[in-house]
Amino acid sequence: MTVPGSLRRTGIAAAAAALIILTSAQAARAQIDGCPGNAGGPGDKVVVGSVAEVAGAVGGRLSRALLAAFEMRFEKADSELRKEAMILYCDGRRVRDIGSYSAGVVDVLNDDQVLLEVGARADGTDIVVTYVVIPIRHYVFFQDGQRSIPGYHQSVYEQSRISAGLQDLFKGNAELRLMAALALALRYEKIADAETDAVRRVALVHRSRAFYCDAIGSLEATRPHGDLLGLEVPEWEALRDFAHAGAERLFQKATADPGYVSTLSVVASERDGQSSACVS
Amino acid sequence: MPLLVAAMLAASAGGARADAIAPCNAPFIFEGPAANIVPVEYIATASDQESADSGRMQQIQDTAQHLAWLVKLDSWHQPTYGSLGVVTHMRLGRSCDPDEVLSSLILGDAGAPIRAGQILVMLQGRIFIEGDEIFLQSRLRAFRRNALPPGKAQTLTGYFAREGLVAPLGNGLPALVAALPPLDITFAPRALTVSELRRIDSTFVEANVVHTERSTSSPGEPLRFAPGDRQAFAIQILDDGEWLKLTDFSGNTAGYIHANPEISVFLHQKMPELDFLNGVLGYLRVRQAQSGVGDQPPPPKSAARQAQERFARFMEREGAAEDAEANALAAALTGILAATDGADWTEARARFAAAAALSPYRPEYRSLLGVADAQLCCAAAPVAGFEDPARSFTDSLSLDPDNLQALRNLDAFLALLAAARPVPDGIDASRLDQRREVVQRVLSSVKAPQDP
Repeated sequence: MTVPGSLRRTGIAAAAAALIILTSAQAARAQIDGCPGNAGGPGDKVVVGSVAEVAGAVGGRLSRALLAAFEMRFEKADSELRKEAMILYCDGRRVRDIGSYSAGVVDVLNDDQVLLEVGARADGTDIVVTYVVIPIRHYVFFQDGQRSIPGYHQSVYEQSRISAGLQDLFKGNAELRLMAALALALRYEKIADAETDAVRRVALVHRSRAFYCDAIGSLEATRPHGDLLGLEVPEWEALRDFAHAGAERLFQKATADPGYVSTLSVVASERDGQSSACVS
Repeated sequence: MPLLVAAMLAASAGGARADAIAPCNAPFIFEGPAANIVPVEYIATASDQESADSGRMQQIQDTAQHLAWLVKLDSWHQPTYGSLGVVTHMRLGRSCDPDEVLSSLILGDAGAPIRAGQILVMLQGRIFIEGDEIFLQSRLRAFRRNALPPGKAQTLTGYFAREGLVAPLGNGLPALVAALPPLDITFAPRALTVSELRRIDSTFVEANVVHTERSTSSPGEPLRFAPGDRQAFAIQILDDGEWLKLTDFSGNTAGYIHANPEISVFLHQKMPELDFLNGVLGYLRVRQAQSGVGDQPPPPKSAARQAQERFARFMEREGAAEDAEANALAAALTGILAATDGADWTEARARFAAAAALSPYRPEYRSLLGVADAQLCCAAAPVAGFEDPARSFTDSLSLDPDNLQALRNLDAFLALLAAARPVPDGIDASRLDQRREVVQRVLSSVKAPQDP
């Protein structure tokens, strides 16, 4: 799958915006395997792999619809995430099994500022949509050793449900936003941790907190309904807990440090220290 | 371009509107009307653009043009808010990048740039067809042009007037200010079938008969869609909108169409964003008149009510769970109309609370709710139904710690509380000195944000 010029231009504009936002913009990195030639530059990225394998397994009709549904989801998530990341459609790349995302592989992708790798594969007659949340897999799963949240999450779309009509494929746009918000939250949190300038650090902490809250806001729309579509319950619960813990952690970082003044100190004061939740 | 000049003249007259088609590589809008709607032909998905055969691409493009035609005709039967141009931008064999169209319209690359105060509503989208099923995803962008000269803003949105609410508190205190999220929304994908599209088309053919006289019994010819057709019209609104006098710029068609909003019911059921579009148009016309920027004619007195009705219809049709963001924005826009056009803060509060419930993690709706609560509780004698505004301003700050306007609102509200005697029931005035000290310490330490 490739992408037309208009989408590439959007991506390039988004990359430029990310350059301004990220004060620690990194130098251009190596080419991401299987992606277009200009994909290795700076800026946060969502990598969409080829779904050619799906086409072979489930037929042209479903695979074409899947691609279209993907694109519409990205369009919506892109506008909602305010162009925080560019979307790269990578013909020569396909999402792999969890074992392929080893510490070394993920380390390289994280350095390349890949937020998410998204793809689909066939599982028998079903379609499995996979999200690899690179910062989570890198920092939380490998570096911190938290095994409950692997950063590799799957949504199953049973062919029996979608073959009767394609509408279900086009519903439910929130998974992508949830994953992207979590990836951005953790990315900014790590940049904040490494930042020595107090003013810039506060700004990054605030940004990270805002994305954790955004992720929490997407949780309800991704809650499993037992209809064999979307995330499974344990995965959703792990992501939910991670989002809430992140928002809480950032709040504590902002308010516990007497070295700088944060607007979150006002939140603590107004709530008389009773709550650090995103909304009361 | 004599046709366009004619259209502009027609559109600038009271009770008139104009309608045209432009190629995407030479975008233009009418200079005269207070507002322009710019539907851009929906484009195929990326994979179809790359790999679809010519027959499939032709089917997609024909369907996209057919939809653009129907959207245009639909706009004739909706409230026009007094002064409107519609310019459909088509591929016509060339590429059609909506961002480039928008940029050209703002900067005036291919025609007169949007004037200060003028409104632009752009509808674009993607289309996918598989067998009998058509999937559409629409994106709507709407704004009033601010007074910044072309070339002075760093981004396109720098030319958009800020949308939101300013509510004076009195007592020499700063006004409370709450911004709306950008009027830039991508709707959930819609599904319709080829047979449903035919049904919609047949309804529009039956209804859009160009009569020789202002009578449905007079002879007439229906307007029909033809792929690649570039028909453009000047339309005069007659009899309070009951009749439309239509003149085809090519000189082939002239006569009268009986306006009938009912013909749009099924199309709008399938594409609720068309109700949203009309509501946004009405909202912006009301705000345009309130702003005093530009020299556009005022909208009719019914504009706010009509816009609110369209938003209500959108929210009824749109599944809240499927597209909570769009519903929340519609509720917030309805609330602002209630506050600014009718000073109905009780209604406004209900709408802002609905927006916050639909989209609990958008700081903007928390701020709007706080502003409404402050008006109800404390701007004059308390009016029942409020909650503590400090809670909403704090939530807004918690969701977006860089939101200094929420901090300023909280500061102003706490200052109001400090002067209030007695403090209304339900308002927490405990630790007031301590709370104000924290707010002011933070305010004095943070860098003032740059106004966009």
